[in-house]
Amino acid sequence: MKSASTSYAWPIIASVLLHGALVAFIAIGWTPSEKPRKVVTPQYVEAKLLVMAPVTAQAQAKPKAEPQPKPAPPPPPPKDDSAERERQRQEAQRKQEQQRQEAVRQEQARKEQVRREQEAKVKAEAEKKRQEEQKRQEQAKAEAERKRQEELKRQQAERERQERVRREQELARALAAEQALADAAASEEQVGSYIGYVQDRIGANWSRPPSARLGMVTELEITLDGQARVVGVAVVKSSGNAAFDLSAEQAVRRAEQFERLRELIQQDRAAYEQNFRRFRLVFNPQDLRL
Amino acid sequence: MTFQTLKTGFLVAVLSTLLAACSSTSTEDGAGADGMSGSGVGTGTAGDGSAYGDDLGAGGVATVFYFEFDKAVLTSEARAALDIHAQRLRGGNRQVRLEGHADERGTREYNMALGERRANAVKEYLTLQGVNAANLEVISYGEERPAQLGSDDQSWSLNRRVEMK
Amino acid sequence: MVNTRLLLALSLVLGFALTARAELTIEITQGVDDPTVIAVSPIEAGNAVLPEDISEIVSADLRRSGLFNTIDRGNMLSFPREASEVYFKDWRVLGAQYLVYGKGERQPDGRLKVTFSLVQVAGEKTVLAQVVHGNDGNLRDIAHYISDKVYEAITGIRGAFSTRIAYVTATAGGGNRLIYRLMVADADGARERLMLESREPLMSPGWSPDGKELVYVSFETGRPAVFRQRLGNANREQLTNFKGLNGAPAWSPDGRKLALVLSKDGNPEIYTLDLGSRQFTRITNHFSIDTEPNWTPDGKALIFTSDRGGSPQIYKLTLASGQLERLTFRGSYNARPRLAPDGRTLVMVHRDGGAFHIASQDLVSGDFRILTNTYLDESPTVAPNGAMLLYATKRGTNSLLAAVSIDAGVKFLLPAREGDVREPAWSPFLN
Repeated sequence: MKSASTSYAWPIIASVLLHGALVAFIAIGWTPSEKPRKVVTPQYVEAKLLVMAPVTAQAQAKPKAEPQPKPAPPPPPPKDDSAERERQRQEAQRKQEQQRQEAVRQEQARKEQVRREQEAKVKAEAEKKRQEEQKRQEQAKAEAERKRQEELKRQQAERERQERVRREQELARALAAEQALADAAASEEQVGSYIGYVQDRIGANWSRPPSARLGMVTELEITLDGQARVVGVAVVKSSGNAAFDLSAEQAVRRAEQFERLRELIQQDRAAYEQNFRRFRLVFNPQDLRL
Repeated sequence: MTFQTLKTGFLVAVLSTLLAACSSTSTEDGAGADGMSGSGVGTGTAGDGSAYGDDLGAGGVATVFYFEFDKAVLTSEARAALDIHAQRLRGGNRQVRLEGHADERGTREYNMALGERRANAVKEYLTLQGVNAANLEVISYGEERPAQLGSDDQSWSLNRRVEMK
Repeated sequence: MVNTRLLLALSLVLGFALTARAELTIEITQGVDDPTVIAVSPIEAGNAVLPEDISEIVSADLRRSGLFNTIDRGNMLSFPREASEVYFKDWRVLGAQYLVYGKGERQPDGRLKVTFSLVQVAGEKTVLAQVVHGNDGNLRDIAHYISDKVYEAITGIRGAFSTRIAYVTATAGGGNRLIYRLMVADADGARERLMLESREPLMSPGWSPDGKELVYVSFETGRPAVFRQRLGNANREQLTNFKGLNGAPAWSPDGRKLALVLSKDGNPEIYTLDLGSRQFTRITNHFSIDTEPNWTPDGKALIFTSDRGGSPQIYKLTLASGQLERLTFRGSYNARPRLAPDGRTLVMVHRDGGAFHIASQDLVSGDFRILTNTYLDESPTVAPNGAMLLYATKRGTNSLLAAVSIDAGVKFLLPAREGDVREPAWSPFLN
């Protein structure tokens, strides 16, 4: 029954290690309220960590620059008087001109004053606007920062939540794996018992020819149908002794149908399909004298 | 198939009984009575006399000597009887056949050797007593000629023997 | 850290899943070696009944090998003669693992053409199909031929049903004397033929390696002497005429020599006789009993019985070197050695308490087995295929021949006949 024991080895090792892992979890603080013995194997959920992109990009965007103030309009052109009148006129004109000029000058000065005042006003306005803008910007910035902080907090919370979920899922998965392994081990144990059954059935039907010798090995590939009936026997590896090969083939043919495998078909069709629908038999006699 | 070979006639060897002279068989009857003792055994031995000159068993001297299983050691009774035989044979030219036998146990050819060893034991004893070895012929029959049929201790003890003829 | 553990655990699950997905391989290390169940459908020529029942002879041959159980004709549901008449289901129902069917066809010249097939019932597969020609006079040979082929196909061992055996009988012949006969028969005991009859002991028959001659010891001259005799024409020749023992002849595997025992020099020693030059060569030189020589299959050594150690044991003497080796150590009596054709299995007469049995000893592994359980078993002789051995055993006051498979699995008695039957010698392969 060498092969049966090796077939148990895997699940046993795996189970021991898994138990170790589980103990570690429990030690770190998860104390499952109660050990769910019969957890249905969950669908494999790929826990996708959706890392939210930070929203601060919009908030931090620079406000658009204010339009520059328009330059003041140019002063009106000077006017000309003729003769005495012209002269006077000129004088007057000159005076006028002077006055005019003065006026112009005054006007200019006034205009300049106005302009300056306007300029100053505009400037003040602009400054005010700028200050307002600056204040507004600062406010927006603060708001954005606040939002960002909030978002960070939210993200942190989300991450924590996701992590928690993920860990819970992992724990559940580990438990499920443990359970699956336990199930698999049970199933493997079951499969193992069926392997033993097949061995016994074949062995009981295997009548070796007297030419059989220790060291002869024949490998057959067996195909069963859905009812565990032998439908195919093929020599995969010959022993070199035709009668020995024939005896192995005969042992399988004589078995005809593995009735007990039908229990497995009913209980765990997948295990049957996976293990017994097509399998190999190695005939390697150990109980011969020579 | 070459079986024609066997279908043709077989030899049934018609063998003249060359040794008619030694065909006496009455020793067995005489030997049956007192088994291993050796004394008085074989008194009924009847050679036809002509070949050997006189009757080896005359006067009730044993002419059959018995042995243990797988042994060729003469018993004291046998030696006593052989002393008398030696006296009678010494100096004469009576030809004596010493026929060694074994019981049925053991293998046939080994028993042939054993019968010969027993007969040789008798021959050597007689020779040491002065009998001319040339007058003593040793023949072993192994287990082929039992004195008594039967697979029991008594039959076997009667069959482990040397007969003087 | 936890995560790595998880990973480990999960990878283990995955690993497990992978191994489970690989094709399942189951190893079979033990069997039962039950006899194979075989049915031999009657083989006839049309509607004519043949003088010998071929299929019955085949069935008996196979049964006697101990490796087959045969299905009684009375239980058969049909008697197929050709493939189209084989209904596998019927044979499955009967539990037949193999079926032999065939038919004879009378040829214009009166000869018989026999076609036969061996089919595996469960696999519905033809394992063997052959034609053999013969006539009404050798139907038994045809039957044994079929037995040989069927046996070989299923066992992987050449069949020895077409061989013969020689033996000696002893029957009451009037008065107190026995009549000795040297006989030859088929391996199944049938077709017994007289080779020689004598009122003096006959013993130790042996075969020439070509199966055409016998050697034996006859006392017909008043002393033991070694003779050779051809089977075909009954020509015979006396080979030895020495004082003392002339016995235990054994033909060498190359047919050129005899080993034999002579005591002409005072006590039994092994000699060889060159049959060409008529030269005798002394092989042993010891004051003890050396007898019952037999050749190793390679002809390079002799095995023989000697009591040089104080009790009969078996020794091997290599001819070229003169090297002597004691082979048996168990018990106080081991004698009359014979080697199976593999040169490895020694069979002998072994004393066990008060009883003598046939025993075998594997010269490589030392494995020692007592093969028989009757009381006075002797003269083992191994079949040329090494599968069976014949020996003589005692029943009441008579001895008779019995056979046992070399692994002691099967025993059977040959048909008993009147009187003693002793010293069987199995022939080599004859074809």
